[in-house]
Amino acid sequence: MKFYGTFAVALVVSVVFFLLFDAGLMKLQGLSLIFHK
Amino acid sequence: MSFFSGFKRLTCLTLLLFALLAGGFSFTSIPVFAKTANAEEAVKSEGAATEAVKEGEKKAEYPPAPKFTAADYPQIGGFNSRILVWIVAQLHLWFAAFVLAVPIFVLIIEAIGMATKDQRYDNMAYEFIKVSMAAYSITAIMGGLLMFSLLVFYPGLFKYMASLFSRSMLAYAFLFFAESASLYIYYYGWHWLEGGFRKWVHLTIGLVLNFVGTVLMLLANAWVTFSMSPNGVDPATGAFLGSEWNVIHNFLWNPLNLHRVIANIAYGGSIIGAYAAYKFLGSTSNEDKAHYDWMGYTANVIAVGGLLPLPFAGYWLTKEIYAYSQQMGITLMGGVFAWLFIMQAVLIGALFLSVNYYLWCGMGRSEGSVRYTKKIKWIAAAVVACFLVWFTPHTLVLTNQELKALGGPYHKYLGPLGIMPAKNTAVNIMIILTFLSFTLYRRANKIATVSWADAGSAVQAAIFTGAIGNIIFLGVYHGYFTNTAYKVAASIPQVSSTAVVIISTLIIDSMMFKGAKEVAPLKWGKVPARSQYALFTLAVSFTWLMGLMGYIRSGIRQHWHVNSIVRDNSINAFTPTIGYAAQIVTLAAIIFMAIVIFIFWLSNISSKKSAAH
Repeated sequence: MKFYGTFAVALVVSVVFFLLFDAGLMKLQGLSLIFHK
Repeated sequence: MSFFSGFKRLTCLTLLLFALLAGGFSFTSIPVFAKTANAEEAVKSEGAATEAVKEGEKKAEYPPAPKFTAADYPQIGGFNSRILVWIVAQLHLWFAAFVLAVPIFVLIIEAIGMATKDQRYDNMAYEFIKVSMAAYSITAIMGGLLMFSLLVFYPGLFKYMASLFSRSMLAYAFLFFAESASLYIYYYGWHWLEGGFRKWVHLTIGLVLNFVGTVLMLLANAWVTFSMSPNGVDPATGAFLGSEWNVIHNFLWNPLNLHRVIANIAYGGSIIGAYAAYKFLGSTSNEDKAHYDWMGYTANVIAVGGLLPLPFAGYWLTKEIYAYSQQMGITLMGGVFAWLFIMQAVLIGALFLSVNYYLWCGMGRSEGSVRYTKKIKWIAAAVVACFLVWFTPHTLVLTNQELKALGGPYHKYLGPLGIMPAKNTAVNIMIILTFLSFTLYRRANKIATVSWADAGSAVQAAIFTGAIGNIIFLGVYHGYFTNTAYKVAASIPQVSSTAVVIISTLIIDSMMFKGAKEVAPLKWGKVPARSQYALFTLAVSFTWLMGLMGYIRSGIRQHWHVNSIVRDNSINAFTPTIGYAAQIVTLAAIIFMAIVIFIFWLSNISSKKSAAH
């Protein structure tokens, strides 16, 4: 249970991290994470 | 003593400088950071053209590029000039890649041997360099044959290229003195320069060997990339504008440099792996089997280490080709050569499956791997699924009737899997899964003693899951619900997610398994023979796909010797059918493999002689 609990929390953190990471890398290329026409 | 430690510092600094130099030229060319740099370069070369025009009024202008007719290409009975130059150039490139790569990892393995004081690493490094000695002379033979072929069959073109690259061609020739001297001292002086200070001298000679080899490759790369993206010449006439640096430092030079450095490492590792597999299968004693099994594993790690970032070096090269010339870029992946990339996808998929299979077989060396055995089938299933997506084509090769029946050139449901976002998603996940196999292999024989081991593994599992989910999100959302700019841009966070997984897992592993207990000593040599055939598959697959990609790179110039500057008017200047091209590449690969087997056999007979003594 300890493993799965830690996994769940770490997964949430990693999802947030990756979304911010993506947004940053897209911004560096002059674009946003979410598509704008 | 103080001089010795000073020398040690100097060697470390030189190593660091080498690493910085090697990385520096590619870093400045990374598109995200060098967008303005490329624009600046365009302005600079325009400025250079204007300056050259002004200077031309003062001193003699350089002649324009030659215009050839069919008569300018000598015909020698019995030789097809195009096929000869193609095969010889490819053979030269395969051997050159090998002999440039081996000193890189020999140096690193020798350094590891010095740091760990483990003689086995030193012995293995020595054996690696021994294998490459025969390959070195064959590289030179092929290079000489290539030069003679170009002189005989394409004298006008060679004259033009030599006029532009005069100094660098001379430098290239003279640098072989340094290359040969450093290689011979490095190899023949291996046991003479042993122990203490002398070992540092030996290591420095290895560093010089690597440096010279790299410079040789950079010079030759300039000739190749100039043909594709000429710079430093008048765009209208092809006349030299006076600066050899501008001719060398053309648009595609650095992308090709980076791609070839990484690819050489991967390729060299795979050939050494094949050597180790060959020796393993021929070994009779358990000691020999254990030695060659370990060598094969080390070579495989090197090959995989180079393989993981390689698709992205290739993508960057392709991106730069597109940025330079949309026509060339579209020919490359959207036009005539598109199906060759499907063939490449099959080969790369085979490579990943081979690598994973070798790692799974290798887990049998440890009794502790039993806890991971059940997971392997899921990794296998996922890798296969990614492989299927990876090689699904977009535009199908169809007859008119089939086209009508299908209602278009694309399959209704599988067609969308044929575009780049799907490919990027698949390859990133394949890389992560391969890395997962490697991670499980490494920890199979370890029992972590830190109190937070379970939490550490949970965090790693979350990073893997989050990254894979992120890659899928980026691929699906940006790939199918946005426009082209977003589609292409999303590939950067995809590959960066893969990099995050690899780096973070390695860091956490290094902390988590500090002071770890061993389950039992690894049973080197206790692997099934079929694992060695996985190493052969690696070498053959790598060779074949290098030949294929080499053809494509050359072929996208189509009817140009030098893109838009010097037209190829020889009678053999046609773009062959895919089948024909594949046959030539296959023939060249078979010749290469035959020579490599000859080299492996040479190592056998030389060791027999020393055993008799």
